[in-house]
Amino acid sequence: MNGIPANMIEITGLTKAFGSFTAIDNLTLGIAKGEFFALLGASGSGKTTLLRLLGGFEFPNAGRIVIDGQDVTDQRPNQRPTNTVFQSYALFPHLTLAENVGYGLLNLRLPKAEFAARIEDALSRVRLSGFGARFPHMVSGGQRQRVALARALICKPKVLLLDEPLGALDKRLREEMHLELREIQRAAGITFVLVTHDQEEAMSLADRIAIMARGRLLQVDTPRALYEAPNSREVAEFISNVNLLDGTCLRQDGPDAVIAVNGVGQFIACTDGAALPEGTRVTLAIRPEKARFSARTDQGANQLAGVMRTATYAGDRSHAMIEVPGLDRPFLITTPNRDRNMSDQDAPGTPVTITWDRTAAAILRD
Amino acid sequence: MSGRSLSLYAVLYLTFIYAPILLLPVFSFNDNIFVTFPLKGFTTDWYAEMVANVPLGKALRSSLLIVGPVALISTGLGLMAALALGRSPIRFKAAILGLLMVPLVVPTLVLGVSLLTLLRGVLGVQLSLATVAAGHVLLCLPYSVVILLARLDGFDRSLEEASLDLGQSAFATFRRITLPLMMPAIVASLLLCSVVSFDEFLLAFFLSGADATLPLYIWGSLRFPAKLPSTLALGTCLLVFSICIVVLAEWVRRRGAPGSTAATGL
Repeated sequence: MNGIPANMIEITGLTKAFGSFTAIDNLTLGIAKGEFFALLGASGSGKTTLLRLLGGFEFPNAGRIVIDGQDVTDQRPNQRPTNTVFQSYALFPHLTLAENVGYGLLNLRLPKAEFAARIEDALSRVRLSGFGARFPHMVSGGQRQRVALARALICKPKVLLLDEPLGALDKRLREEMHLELREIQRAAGITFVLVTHDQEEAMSLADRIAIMARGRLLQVDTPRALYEAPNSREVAEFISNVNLLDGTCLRQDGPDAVIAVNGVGQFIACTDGAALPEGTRVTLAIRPEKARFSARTDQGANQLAGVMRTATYAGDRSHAMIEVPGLDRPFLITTPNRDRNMSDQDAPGTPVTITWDRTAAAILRD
Repeated sequence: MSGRSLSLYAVLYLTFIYAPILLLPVFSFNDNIFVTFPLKGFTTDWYAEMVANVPLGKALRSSLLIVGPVALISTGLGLMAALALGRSPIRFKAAILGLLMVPLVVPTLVLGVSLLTLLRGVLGVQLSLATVAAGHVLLCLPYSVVILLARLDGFDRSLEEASLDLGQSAFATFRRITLPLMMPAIVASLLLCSVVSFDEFLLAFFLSGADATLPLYIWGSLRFPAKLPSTLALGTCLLVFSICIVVLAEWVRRRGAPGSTAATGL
């Protein structure tokens, strides 16, 4: 395979329909060994269905799933080398935490001492030593989450599937769990597939992210590439805020292209080495933090005159919405608050000039 | 309505429900063969007479003999029906559930006549306690299905998926997860079916052979005024027994409620 290590998961032509609704639409995807992979999408995008197909809780209408070289398409969950951390944690309420964690070992018929030792080891790994005798309802949400993780990892699966595992936790606990999840994933070397609708979570955890919509993959890439070089308007808009300017390529100028935006002006943007024929319809995507504004005329590759509409203070940064003639939506700019003094250019109605560099805008061709 | 008239309403309501029932123990200890006020004196003779009454003992034994099998068979069949309706991908679930509920809405009288016709006329089966028990299973099944299905719908399906995911087979998952979580409902179903069968008169009237069940015996004995006080004594015993059953069932149900300690005695 061209020297590239074989993928842990190979999905080809996967289709799953519920009645007339196509949840997964002819989807093909490879996930590498030891990769932390995130499926990101709005609800109804098919991300949870894809995870359930991987876990064996649903069976596809067409297509194959191969895990570690083995076709598991028709295998039941108990035959697959996968384990799942459920959204609701799904801890057995009538069993203690130790019995929950040890549930996956039951089939091994281990000697009593080894059984207990492995449970204790798994519990200590998620910092829950001494909690084994408690029942799930007696511990906090964060602790339940860690028990679910320990229970899923005790069978040493090749792939761990996580269905929005942190959705029920508060923000601080979630951030703590992010660090823990990454550490556990690195230490165990297990391939993680995480379903989430929280893009920050996906960004900070995953090696690669697949953006899903309508049962298809819009883009599969590293967090940085998704953010800095989205391949479509839909992806650009799904990942955080973005300013989109519709235009046409006038000419290519070395590494840059000159883009004319109707009724607004001409802008230069780096093409990242791609050839852009004259007359190509493109969209310029400018992230809010990659542009700046000033009440004075500024020196910059790209300039745009506008009028401040609202400025919102958000502690570490401020968000400005600037009305630009010719654009139907206000231009968003996020500025880090490097100074404790309020700026006088934030007053609504102030004329301002927006500028950005030639490498700040991404060129979308869709 | 003011608070006072609401209280009055509540008192009247409770009196209406409980006064007749409370008369039972009162007259069962009254030293008079006629059930009238004023009370004459305290006696436990009627209880002694009740215990010494051979046909009554026989009828009680007949009733108790069928209660166990009826409760077990109804709950067993109900469990299978509930699992089919709640967990398997069968079609026409609403229609099937509706058909299962039919014995609840068909008048028992109609049910009794048609079962009698079927058993005697068509199949030529000899009437006995077994035919009464079969009729009672038919009557109990809807209760059992409703109780069990409610519990099955009430717990997170991903619990069973987690068990499968952790390597257990479908049957082991049923035994280790589904059954323990269903246990409070199973106990409730057993108790309710027992009560329904123990108390049932109409089907027993149509379908019993030589052996009378307790309700049949009581109905028969009412024709003899001399036997009335000992019947009241019997009624009092049954009343105490039913209260115990209801308290027990409620206790089991609460223990099984979400967020409580272990749902079962495992």
